[in-house]
Parts: sequence; C-alpha cells; structure tokens
Amino acid sequence: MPERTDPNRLVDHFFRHESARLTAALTRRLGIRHLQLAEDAVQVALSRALASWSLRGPPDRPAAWLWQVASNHAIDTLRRESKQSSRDADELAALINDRADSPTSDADEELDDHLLRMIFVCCDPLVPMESQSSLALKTLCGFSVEEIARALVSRRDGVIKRITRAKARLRDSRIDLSDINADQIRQRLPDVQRVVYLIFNEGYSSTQPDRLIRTELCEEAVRLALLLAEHPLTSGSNSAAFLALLLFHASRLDARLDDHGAILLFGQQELHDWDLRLLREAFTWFEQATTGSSVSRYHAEAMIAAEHCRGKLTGATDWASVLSAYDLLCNLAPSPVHELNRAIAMAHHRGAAEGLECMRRIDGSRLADNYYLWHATMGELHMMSGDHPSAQRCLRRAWELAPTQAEKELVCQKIDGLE
Amino acid sequence: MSKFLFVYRDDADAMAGEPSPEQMQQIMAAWHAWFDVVGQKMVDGGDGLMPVGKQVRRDGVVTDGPFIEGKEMVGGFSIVETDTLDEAVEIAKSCPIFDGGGWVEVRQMAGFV
Repeated sequence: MPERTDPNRLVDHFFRHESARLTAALTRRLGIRHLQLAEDAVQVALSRALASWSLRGPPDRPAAWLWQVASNHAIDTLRRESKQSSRDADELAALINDRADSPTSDADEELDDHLLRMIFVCCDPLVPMESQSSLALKTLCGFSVEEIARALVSRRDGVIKRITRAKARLRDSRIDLSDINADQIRQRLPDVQRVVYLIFNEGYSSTQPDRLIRTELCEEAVRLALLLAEHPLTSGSNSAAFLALLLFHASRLDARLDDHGAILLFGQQELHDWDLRLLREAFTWFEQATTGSSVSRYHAEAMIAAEHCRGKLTGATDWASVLSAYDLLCNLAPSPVHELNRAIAMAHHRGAAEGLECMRRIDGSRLADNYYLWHATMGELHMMSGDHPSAQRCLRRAWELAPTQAEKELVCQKIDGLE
Repeated sequence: MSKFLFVYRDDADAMAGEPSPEQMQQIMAAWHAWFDVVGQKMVDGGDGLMPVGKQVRRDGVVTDGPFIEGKEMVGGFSIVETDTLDEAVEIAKSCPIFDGGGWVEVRQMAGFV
C-alpha cells in the first residue's frame, strides 16, 4: 500500500466551500472584472486536485495546494492575454508580487476575509433581485448551475441567464473587493442578510421536494450567517441575532415534515426530531445578541423563535413575551404578514375575540386575495371563538388558495377537525 | 504473485460536462473507498498524468501533447499485485472510473526487473 495521507481530513463539502473561498481570494487580487477567469482557474485547480488526490490523498495543506494551482493558472491565462493589453500585464506583475502573502503563508482567516467581501459584492443591490440567490449559490457556496437549478426548482437555462446578467452588472460596476470599507459593510449588512435569508427560506419552505437539498440550502445560509457573526467587520449584536434566528429554525428543520412529507405544525412536532445541538447554539448566539444596545428586526424574529422553542422545551409558551416580540417586529418591519402573526399571538394571550379584532385592523385586502394563511388564520381564530360555520368558510377558502399539496392537506386536517 | 499495471483511461466524449465541486469530492471519496478495499494488493498507487506533454520521435521530431484532438487519454496509473490476471481484472471491475465514462486497461508486468 502506498503512503497516502488520510482522505477523511477533508471535511464535508470541502471542494464546494474551498472553491467559493478561492474564487473570492483570486477575484480580490484580479479585480471583479476577472470574476470569470477566477472561477475558471478554481475549476482547473479542483480538477487537478481530483486527479492527484484521488490517487495519493490530499496534501498536508489542501487549501494552499489549490491556491497555488489556481493562481498559476490565472497568471498563465493573463500572460497569454496580456500580449494585447499592457494594463493586464501590470496587473499580472502585481499579482505575482502579491504571491508572497498568498494563503500559503496564512490560511483560514485571510480566506474568510476574502469571502466576506465577496458576500458584500454579490449581495449588492445593483445585482438584479431575481439573480441574487442564484449568484450567491454559485459564487459564495460553490454550487454548479445544475445544483442551483435543482435547489431553486428552476430551469437550467434560466439560472444561467440570471447568473450571466448578474456578472455583467458586477463587471460594469467595477466594485472591487478591497474597495469596500467598513462603513459600506455596516450600511449594506441588511442587504446581505436579506439574500442569506432568501437562501435559507428556499431550503426551509416546503416547495422544495428534496429533503437533502433543503438541508443543504439551510446549512449554506447558516454558514454565511456564521461568517457574518464571527468576522470582526460584521460581528455584533445584529449579526448574532440573525444567526440565532436561522439556527432556531434550522434546529427543527427535520421535525417540520413527517415521513410522508406532510407538514407538521409546531405543536405536533416531536422534540426528539429537533437538532438539539443547533438549538443550544441558537440560544448561545441569542444571548450574545441581547447583550448589545441595538435592536433589529432579526432580534424580534429571534425573540419570537426563542420563546416558541422555550415553550416547546418547558411545555408552556409565554404568549405575553411572544406578543411583545411581535409588537417590536411590527414596529421595526411593518408588514401585514407580521400583523397577522401578531393577531395569532394576541388570540393565544388574550383570547380569540381580541385576535379577530387585530385581524380586522390589518389592512389585509391584498393578502386576502391570494394568501392562504390569511384565511387559515381567520379560520383558526373563528374556531377558537366557537364560530364553526365561519371557520369552515375561511378554511375552505384557505384550501383553495394553498399553493402546495402539503399545505392543502394541512388545511384539510383542520376542516376535518371541525366536523 | 504477479504485478499488473492499471492504466486509467478517460474518454473525453463520455464525460458529461465538468463535474461540480461537490461531485468532484464525491468522486474522490469513491476512489479512496476503492483504494481501501483493494488494500495491500495495491503495491503502488502510481500517479495521475497531466494532459500536457510532448511526443518525441526519431530525428528530433517533437510534437505537442499526449494527444491533440484526441478523445481518449491516459489519466493515471497504479500497480496491483495478485496471483492471477483474473484476480487483477476482478479488482479493476470495482474501480470507480466507470462512473465517469472511463475504463481500466490491465497489463501484466514482465517482471524483468
């Protein structure tokens, strides 16, 4: 048996995540307009790693090995192209000079710094909204086009189009990774959080039929949120609250659906299906979030999730706390959907009549047209107040509007419960 | 006991596009699992071969590459030691190379050295 180093040293998704970090590192050196070159160089490096590590196992420092191959490839390509352009030749020289402080000398922290900056570039508002999650999955998470299409339940050529459009915008923008300063980072944090939340929800929502993909999307979002919470430029109470929120939700990812893919309501979920390790982490980060002086919408959302989880663990939900967290949320991020959830909390805390009163005060005309949860909530509250005919009427409407089979079945259960 | 050279051959046409990073890691894991199964009989893991190289012929004629527009190429090699050719062939059958459209050439080494 030849000497081979332990292949298990490579953690799960090493290639995927290393490809994201290397792309960020190369793009920082080469400039955003060479994003494509950076991606190609990383792909070449990974292909070579596959060929050589398959036989010998990975080297001692796999990330440094990949960096060497990828940057050599980028340099060679630029050198070929620079025959036409002297500017690129200068850049090439700079790149080579920079090699001294390449990740071969440092490692994780520096790579994470590149990736963090790349997150802020990719989540820039100038990237078209519909492209943001595709671009993020490609560039920040190392997904292939096929994997993105599966994850977002969209067509392959649609994903390619969205990514191409996003990259064209970035190329024209000339925002370079090193240009981003601390102020901009603070300012744009909400944009970044929105995109990360989007990815999380793609995994968390029940429209994704594949359990494995759901888990992966949530894990990726948590990974990015963790980077935000730990990196000195973005850490703080706001990032801690955001991470805590994702972890609270992630901890019950597997508990939300039964073996047949039917949705289980919070009350029906079995605690032993929860990931208690994640839940513990969620509470730790939540505690950290509450030590700061600032309060964000994610604080409110994390507070709500924390109360529900605490209720699950102790068997009694503190609805007064849930309600005050919803008050906060509706204040910080006004939305009829948040008002609707506040009405439910109100009903649990003060009774169904008060809940219905809250519903009446919501400007929900648009919600009522196409949002099945509006009607499901109305049905629920009528049921609580003992008005079964009204409950029945609302739940029927909810059933008609429910977008997925799983959600239709959920409403069906409630209708059956009435009869 | 005889030694057999395993020549790993790839067919460019059969490869369905570039594998994603995740797929690459899975392919690598499959190879490592295979090496573990082959165990001591793999006396030399060999090496992979880069796609660059030269063909050197008589009178100093040098041409590019192991191939220029070739569809198949040697991607690497290993040395396996078994009692019989059949046994070596059995080992080759479980090689993960087939998933990617490649195949294994099993050649008995002469043992001159």
